Amino acid sequence: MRGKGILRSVLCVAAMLSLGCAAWAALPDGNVRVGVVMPTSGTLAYDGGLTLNGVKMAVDEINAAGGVSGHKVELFIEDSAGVPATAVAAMEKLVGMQKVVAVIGDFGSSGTLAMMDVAKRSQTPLITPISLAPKITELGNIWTFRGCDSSEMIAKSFTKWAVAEKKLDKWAFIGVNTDYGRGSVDAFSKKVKDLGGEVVYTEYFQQGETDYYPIITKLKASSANALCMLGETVDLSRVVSQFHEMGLQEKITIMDPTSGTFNPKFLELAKAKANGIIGASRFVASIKTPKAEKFVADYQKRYNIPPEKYAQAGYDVAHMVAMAVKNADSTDTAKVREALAKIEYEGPQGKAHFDAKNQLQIGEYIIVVKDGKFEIVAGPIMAE
Amino acid sequence: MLMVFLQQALNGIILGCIYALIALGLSLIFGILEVANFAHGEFYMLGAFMALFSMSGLGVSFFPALLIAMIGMGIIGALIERAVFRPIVGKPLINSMLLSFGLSTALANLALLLFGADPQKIESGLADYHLRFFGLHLTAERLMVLVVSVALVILLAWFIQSTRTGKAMRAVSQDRVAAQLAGINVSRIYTITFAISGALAAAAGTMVGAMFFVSPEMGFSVVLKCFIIIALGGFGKIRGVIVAAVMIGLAESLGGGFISYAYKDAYPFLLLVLLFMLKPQGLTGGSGR
Repeated sequence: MRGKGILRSVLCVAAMLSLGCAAWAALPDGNVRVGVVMPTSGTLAYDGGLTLNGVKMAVDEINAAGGVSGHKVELFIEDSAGVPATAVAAMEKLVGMQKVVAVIGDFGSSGTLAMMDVAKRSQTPLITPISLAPKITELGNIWTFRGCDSSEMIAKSFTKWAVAEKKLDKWAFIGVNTDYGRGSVDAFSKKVKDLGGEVVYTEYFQQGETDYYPIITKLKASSANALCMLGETVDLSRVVSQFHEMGLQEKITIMDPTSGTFNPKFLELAKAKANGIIGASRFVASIKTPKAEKFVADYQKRYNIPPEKYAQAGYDVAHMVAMAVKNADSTDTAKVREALAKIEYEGPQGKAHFDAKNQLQIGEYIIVVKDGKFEIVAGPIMAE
Repeated sequence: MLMVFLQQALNGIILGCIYALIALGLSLIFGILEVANFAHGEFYMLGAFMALFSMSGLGVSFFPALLIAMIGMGIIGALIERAVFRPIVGKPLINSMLLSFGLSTALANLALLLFGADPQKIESGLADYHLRFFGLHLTAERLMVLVVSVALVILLAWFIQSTRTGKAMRAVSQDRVAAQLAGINVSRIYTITFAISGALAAAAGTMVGAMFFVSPEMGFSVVLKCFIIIALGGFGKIRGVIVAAVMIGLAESLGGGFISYAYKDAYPFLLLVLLFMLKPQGLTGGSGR
């Protein structure tokens, strides 16, 4: 008897998919199945774990409040290990075996880019909470959503504030010699020039470099009034110490718009020298809105650490998926996709919706490091 | 432009002094024991950790920590010579190369296991004092590095030139058998050589730990650079090694500053290739020191 039931529901799903899903409203019995692909091992494990914290907290909140129209949300979590091939296998498993309504993931842009094809082929909405590469929403894949800002949006918002408002018009770049570093330098340079600013010096370094004196010495001789750093925690902490050793802090404002330095390890390494670094972030724990304050308090209580933008992204994206299922009133993936595209969401970060390219439209906060704390100086600033 | 050039040159010389301290030890070992010690970078790394832990654990200030690291690595260097290198002295070079590569990997991974991969900083407390003269800029920390390395190099040169033990070291490096026949305790000289090299590497590591960071993988790239330096300067030659070390420091600093910083690590190798093409007998030329 049971076998017949399963057969029937499989046939129903197949029929729904093939017919382009006719008017089958109301959620079917059972849980709302949501897939998550995040790195829970490998070098990104710590960061991926933060996002997962946010996702789990959101799901528990939803279920405690009665679920999605009375149906509990059930998570299926797979490890991408930060490896694109593993991410694809994980996504295949989620859509093929677990029959999830949507997948949240991956962390790194390369993983998300790899999973996008599976999303398109299986017609399952994929929403990344973290990946910054502009390309993800530029490829015209309607099944992929970005639930956070892109590096291009950060560049737009940040330069708007720094160049137009703060008159920091002579930029120097020190970037890591990778796709991320070079790509970001190009994106920012273009925006700075668009706004009438000037790029006076650009230099790249190898990951793991220790001695930045040659760069800092040239920087000192340049006419720059703003230094934009693009790199990772440890390398940038050396740049910042040597910047201070050369006594440039009076003359040049130091900026880290992709916030590679806004973490406890950097503060530990750079100590007081971190003071005054300006960055951009879509979320910091010091945002004073009721939604943000509640989120920060709940998260702090649950995990004993303050949330940052990775946890916030996981939290928001999980809520968005649940909201889309509720609005669609169906677990049909095509309907969920449509509902997700039309969503009007408000979370700890603020109000947000997707544009025609499935890119979330949100503002950036301009933050500054002060005595080990991140203070908001402006924002949210929208990219457009 | 001139100021930038002079500033880059000054940075390069300070870097060169650090390289000289490490390369001199490597060169001594090579000249006297005729073994290639690829684990020398790990001596430098362990020395830095020793200073870091004496500061955080024993609460001593920077200079005593430097001394503790030098003495500690001197002892460890001597022990490693006795246990690991003594049995292969006089054997073909490949033996010591493979052996020391293994030792290097083992020590680096041991450090990774015990101390973790997170880079840590030695606080000399001198980085916040700034000196300015003729438009050049120097922190007290960098000045200290310059003074300490020059002092150590002079001390080493004096030791080798003028003391009885130093003369014995030179004798062993010229002809081991003859030295032995003349009544020199060759084994003792080996131990002393390793102790001195370990101490010099520890001093360099501690100072680099103050300027930059201490981490388990800091040794490996340095040892390759130092092999370039002793190839440039001549194996076992003190003056040649010092000149070559400063040259490499300058090449990195000026090349990084004026050509492209992203390819900084290529300049020393380029210099080596040029030297082999133009002056195959080495910087200081033919035989002698």
